Amino acid sequence: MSLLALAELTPTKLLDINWIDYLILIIYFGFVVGIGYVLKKQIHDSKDFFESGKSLPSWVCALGFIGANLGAQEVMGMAASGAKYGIMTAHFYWIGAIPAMVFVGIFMMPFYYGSKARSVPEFLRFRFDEKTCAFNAVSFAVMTVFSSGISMFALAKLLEVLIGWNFHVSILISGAIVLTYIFMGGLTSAIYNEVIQFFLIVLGFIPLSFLAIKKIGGWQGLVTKLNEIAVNNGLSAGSYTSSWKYTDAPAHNAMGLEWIGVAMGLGFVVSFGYWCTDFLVVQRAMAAESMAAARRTPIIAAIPKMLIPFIIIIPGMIALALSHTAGSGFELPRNAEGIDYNMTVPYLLAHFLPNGMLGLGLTAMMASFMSGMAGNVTAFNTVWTYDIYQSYIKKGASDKHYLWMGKMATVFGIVFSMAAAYVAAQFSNIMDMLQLIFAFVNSPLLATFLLGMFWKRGNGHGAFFGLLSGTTAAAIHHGLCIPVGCNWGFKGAWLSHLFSKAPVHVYPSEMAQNFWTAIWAFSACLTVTIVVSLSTARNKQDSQLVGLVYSLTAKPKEDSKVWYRHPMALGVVVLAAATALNVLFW
Amino acid sequence: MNLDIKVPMGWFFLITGLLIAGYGTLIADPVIYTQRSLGYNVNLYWGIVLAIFGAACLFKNKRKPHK
Repeated sequence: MSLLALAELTPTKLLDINWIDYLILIIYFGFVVGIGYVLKKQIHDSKDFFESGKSLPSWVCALGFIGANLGAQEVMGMAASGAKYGIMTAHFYWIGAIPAMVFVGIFMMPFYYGSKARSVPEFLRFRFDEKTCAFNAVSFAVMTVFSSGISMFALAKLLEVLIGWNFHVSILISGAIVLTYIFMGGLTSAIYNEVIQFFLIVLGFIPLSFLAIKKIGGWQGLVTKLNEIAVNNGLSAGSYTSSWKYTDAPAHNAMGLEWIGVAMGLGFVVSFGYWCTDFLVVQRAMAAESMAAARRTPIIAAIPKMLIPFIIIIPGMIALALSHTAGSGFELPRNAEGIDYNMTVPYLLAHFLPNGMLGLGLTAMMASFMSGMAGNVTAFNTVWTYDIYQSYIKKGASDKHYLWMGKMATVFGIVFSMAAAYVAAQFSNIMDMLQLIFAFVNSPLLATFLLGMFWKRGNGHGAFFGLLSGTTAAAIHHGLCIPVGCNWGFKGAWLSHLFSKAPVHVYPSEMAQNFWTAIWAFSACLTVTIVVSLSTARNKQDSQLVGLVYSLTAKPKEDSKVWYRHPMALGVVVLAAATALNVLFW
Repeated sequence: MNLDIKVPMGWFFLITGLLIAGYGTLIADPVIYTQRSLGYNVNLYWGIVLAIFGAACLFKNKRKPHK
């Protein structure tokens, strides 16, 4: 969600909420803090606090795994994207997330879990060297604090707009609640709340989707209406309701993408990059009680994940259709620049849900903002304590000391997030710029991990300079191209502007530009890592890479007798289901 | 971990579900439902679904004691 768009909203009290809605919200807050309080007595050492004592069953980790990702930016952003681009948004799930989640479960989890690394940066230290770990740890720590701050800002702004709450009070309350439950219960507290939040979102949005699809006249009614709108917008009829059919050329669909950009950019680089390397999600699987449970975590998570489009994206599409239906009484929100797609979800809630259910919907949205913050804060306190504090500031202290440090890191993580929220409120373009820089840092990481896990010749120098080159390539690509209809700056072409030249390439949409930036970053990192590794000596011998590299590690044994507990079998079933969805909505 | 997630989750959805369903029964003013939820008393119906979900979580936890 663009911060600039949020900052321009004026308080309107869109949702007319009453005592029953408030009561539901208060009960939820009570449970959240209560869970932290009960878990407090079960936190004895740093492993309990940072890694849930490696004791959680796979279904809990799995729901935490998608719960941490199903934050408010995802819910509101995907519905917005559904209203803007139609069913092609589902590519984020059916060609993006699902194959990546199956891959991380089957092929990468054995190394994350088996290496005994406590975090993703620590894995990079074991596999490559100190500098690669430090680069990842520091950039990740900064990123989590700012992401958490952005969630906090967006929540406070939204509450101001929707129900007229004071911005500062919202920041304080949300910060205090998240702090309380993580401080007391650590990662387990965060994961438990993510599970509840997951069910809140699903159970809160099912009636909304049902009412919306009923109002538009079923799936057939939706298709008819959207075909009409597509033709009026100069697109092929059916382009809003077909996921692949109109990807032969960028001009034929609203997303402005051709199939190769979808498959490579979104399907491969962006999704694999996020699901396979982002510690925020990987940490949830690493909390599982056994290797088998850790491997099943992302694959089980993929099952509900592939159904999310039905309760998030399709309501977004219905919102577009209803806003073009005379007499429906529904209008898509507008701001100074035209339609404000980001506010689609709150508008749908306000339109369809009466008090009571409205409270549940509002609670679900608040819960998803807060778990977005909590996910970042738990990832931050772990990376700070293990990869920065224990590695560079105070080595060899007692476990009790590191547990204390983790709790302190939770406190200043939240305080920094609050500061970041105010930075966002003051200078929203600084936050947009930071998000952009993080995208540059993150997109080449996938190449580093793939080469690290599957190519034993890759070394520390190769990984470090590969990452640097990937980040640079992303920045250069972004600086030389621009999406159509945008001015130079955060949207791109700043390098071209610096040299007073026209942009090298104009993309048909922002999304197309993002995907190609990621593809360039990945390719640059891959190439440079290979070239530098081959031209410098290995820094680790085969014996040091056991458990870290595929060819040198014994394959994990499938110990369970029932097929559905085998990661491989489960993965095949999940991929078959995702393929079926792609075909069904072709 | 000794606290099974099914316990707090079960109680939360049971309480919230009963509350919403109760609200739907007491305040059955048809106007708010015709205005918004196409005439369905979603509070009553979905409140019951939520409560059943919550009860199922608690029941499942009771039947299979945590090791």
